Amino acid sequence: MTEICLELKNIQKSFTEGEGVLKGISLTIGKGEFITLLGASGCGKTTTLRIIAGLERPDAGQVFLGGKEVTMLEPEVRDVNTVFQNYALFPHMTVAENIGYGLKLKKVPKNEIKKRVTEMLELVQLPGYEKRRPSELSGGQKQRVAIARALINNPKVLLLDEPLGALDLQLRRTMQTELKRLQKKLGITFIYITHDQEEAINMSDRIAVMNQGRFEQIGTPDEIYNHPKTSYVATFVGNANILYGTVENREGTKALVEFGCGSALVEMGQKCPSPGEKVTLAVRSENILLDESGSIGLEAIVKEKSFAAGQLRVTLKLPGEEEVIASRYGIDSNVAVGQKVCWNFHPEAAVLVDCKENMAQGEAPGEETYA
Amino acid sequence: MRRRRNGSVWMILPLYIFTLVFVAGPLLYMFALSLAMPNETHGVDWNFTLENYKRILDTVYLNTFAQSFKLAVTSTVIICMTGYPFGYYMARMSESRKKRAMLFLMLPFWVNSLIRLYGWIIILQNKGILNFILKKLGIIEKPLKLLYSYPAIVIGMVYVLLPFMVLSVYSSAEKLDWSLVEAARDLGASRTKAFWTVTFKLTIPGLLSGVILTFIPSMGLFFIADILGGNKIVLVGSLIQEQMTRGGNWPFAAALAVVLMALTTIMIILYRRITNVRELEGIG
Amino acid sequence: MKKNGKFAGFYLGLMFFLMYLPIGVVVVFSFNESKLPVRFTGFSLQWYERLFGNSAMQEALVNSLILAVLSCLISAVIGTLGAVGLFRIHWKTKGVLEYISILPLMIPEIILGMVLMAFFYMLGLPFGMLTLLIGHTVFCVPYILMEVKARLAGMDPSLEEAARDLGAGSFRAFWDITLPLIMPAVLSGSLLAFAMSMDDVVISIFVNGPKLSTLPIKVYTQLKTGVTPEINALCTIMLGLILFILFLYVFFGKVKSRLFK
Repeated sequence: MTEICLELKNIQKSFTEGEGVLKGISLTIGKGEFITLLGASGCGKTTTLRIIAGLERPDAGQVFLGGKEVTMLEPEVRDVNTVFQNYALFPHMTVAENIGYGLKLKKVPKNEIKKRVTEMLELVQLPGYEKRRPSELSGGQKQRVAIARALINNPKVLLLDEPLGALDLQLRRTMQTELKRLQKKLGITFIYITHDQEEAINMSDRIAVMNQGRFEQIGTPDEIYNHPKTSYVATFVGNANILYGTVENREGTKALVEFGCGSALVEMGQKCPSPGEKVTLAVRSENILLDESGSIGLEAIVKEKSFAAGQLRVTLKLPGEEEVIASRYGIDSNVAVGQKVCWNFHPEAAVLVDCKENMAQGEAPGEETYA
Repeated sequence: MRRRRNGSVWMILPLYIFTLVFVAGPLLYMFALSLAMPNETHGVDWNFTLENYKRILDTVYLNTFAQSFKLAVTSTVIICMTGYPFGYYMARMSESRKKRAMLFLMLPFWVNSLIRLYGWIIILQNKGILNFILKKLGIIEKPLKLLYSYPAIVIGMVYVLLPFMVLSVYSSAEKLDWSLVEAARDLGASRTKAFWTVTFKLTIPGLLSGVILTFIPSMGLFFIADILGGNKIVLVGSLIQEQMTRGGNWPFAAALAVVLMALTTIMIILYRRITNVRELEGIG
Repeated sequence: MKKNGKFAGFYLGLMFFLMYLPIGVVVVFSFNESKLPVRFTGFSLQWYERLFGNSAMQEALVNSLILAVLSCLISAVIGTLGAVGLFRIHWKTKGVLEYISILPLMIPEIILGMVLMAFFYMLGLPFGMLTLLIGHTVFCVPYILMEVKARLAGMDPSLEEAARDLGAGSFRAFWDITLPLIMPAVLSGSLLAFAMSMDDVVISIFVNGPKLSTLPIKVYTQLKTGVTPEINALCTIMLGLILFILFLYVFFGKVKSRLFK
């Protein structure tokens, strides 16, 4: 990693006594990095962002910005700017006044402000919009203005709180590329919040998956998607099936795992567990192979068939009430609901998750382990 | 737990100080006063006594309370009956008309209420306009004695307090989702049935807050009874005023005020209860 | 569906007629020649002349205006800051304070008047403009407080945070962002408070002291003793003034909206 830009050390925060929103998170972010905090709503990602911005104080822990501690500093003196979820454009000011507000506070001369506002508007591709009011802008335009207003101050870190949440799909895609372009061009560290895994994978250098006030896993999109370390990451990012089984036998790095409805061979790599050990495996739905004749593999009954986002999803019911989803492109599948089928997966398609050594970097040592 | 050092304390301080000194302070003083003994010429003997409260139990004073209460109830009922349709119909006007009606409703606020009441004196007096018209129409022969009577006070009360009810009903009817009424009609409710089961039920909070806004002042607006009722009807308000000025018995006035305040507080608590219950039921 | 029938129109018309009837009567009789407001005997402006010659009445009017403006200003400051403060601060006593501060609207005026009189007497404050000012501020603050509070509740809290984030201090954020946005509420609350102050008899009568008189008190004593049609003239002038201001407001509002379209 290059120069460290922002560091969080064991941040804790709770709003009501006993209910921690953040349970001690640590994170180191390099200069010019695009990092995404990914998680479901209520996982603590917005609180993390607010603590970095200074809008919230942590109960414990420290925030370092460019090597200096800023934990207790007021938001106005931090070299950090935020793009708010609902844009938070000042309705009584024009676009130019909105964007120039930060410079005006820094007592930059008027001409200079005007010049830089024009530059900023060009950068976000809204030239000539100076005199408009926020109420006259579309959602995407408001978004661009909010980004320009934050970026004009040349912050060390730009915080973006689900900035594309209110836009439609088409616009989201455009803005994703746009944001990535801006970030590359300016070389500013972006901390981006989203609950959309696609967005996170598309844009980020690194993703930190959050769950219940902790980091589950921090890593590159490839690591997160292809090598999830916990079942939460596997399901949240990869829409994987989680299978619980017991190791029956070991052959080198491969293990034969018994799932209650049959057993399958799994490639375990270096940390291959020994026979008798209980394991949790994640297999993404597109890697589940269906055998319609119902002869080879693990047993199941087809419970449901649905078509979504260009994929056919077949929900299989296992004997032990668990469910497994198999998906593939196209709709040409002959299975009928209620039919008995067999399913399987390649040994390399399963990923071992939720074992002790796999704990995320953010985890405070010695605390509870994952089941 | 570490708390944010707050830069906004200075904003709230004036309100805190002002409220404590000039609202809470005087009210506490009133309470203390009501437990003290009167002394000649506005003086107070700071000896504890319940005498002032005992004195209220005297039939003369109890009657005063009863009369005030009766007047307040009568006025409030009339205000409800006239003000509800007023606010309701106003809320159903077209947007441009609504604005104009609102303006017309607020305008009299700016004319001194005493002067407006004086207009009623002109209308109601023995040789006034109303009697003149009634006589011309041949409905009456001798002029009716309208002014300085109970109905005159009620007219004055209703007149002064009605706009509060109208505003309160209007604002709650305005927020009403009229498609609910349409849905009720669609489901087979008659126009009347739809009104009572949907519209009225949903605007009850507005009606109730209107009741509070009219009932409480009507207990204390002694000057209306004074001007339009002559000296015939003594209300608690007039009694307190008299004790504070001519009577010179401040502790007794304070005791009367404490009782009056207790009554109105009970009203407010009841109102809160009712609206809270309604909110719990999901209709409020 | 959302349309009023004929009866509604008739009813509203009647109610508005009854509302304006006494005002109309007062206006008409202000031009009456005779002193007795019984029959219209002929057009005359003598009551207006009398009114302008009546220094006591003028003094009362001036007192009332000074009082209303001052109490409005003071309560606008206290109420606005207080509402914003209450919004920002989460003290345990906050709820109680808020309840007490709007109490003046929830208890009969007579109690407030009497209590303030006794309290000022105990403090040894000289009865006059100062006591009137405090008294009026007591019941003006809640109007502004409640208006501003309602407006703040509808305001996006992230606006102020955005200002802080961009480098504004706590006060600067209030001044640049919050204040302009709540200004309409401050103004409408102040307007209401002004009207209430100009109209108040009950509290004023307790705290005005022997020498100072406000317009409503003057009118009240006149109504109790002997009425002179000067009051009619005064009412007409006030009404004319209000209509004039209203006209200006509407007129300039239209011009403004046309200019800034």
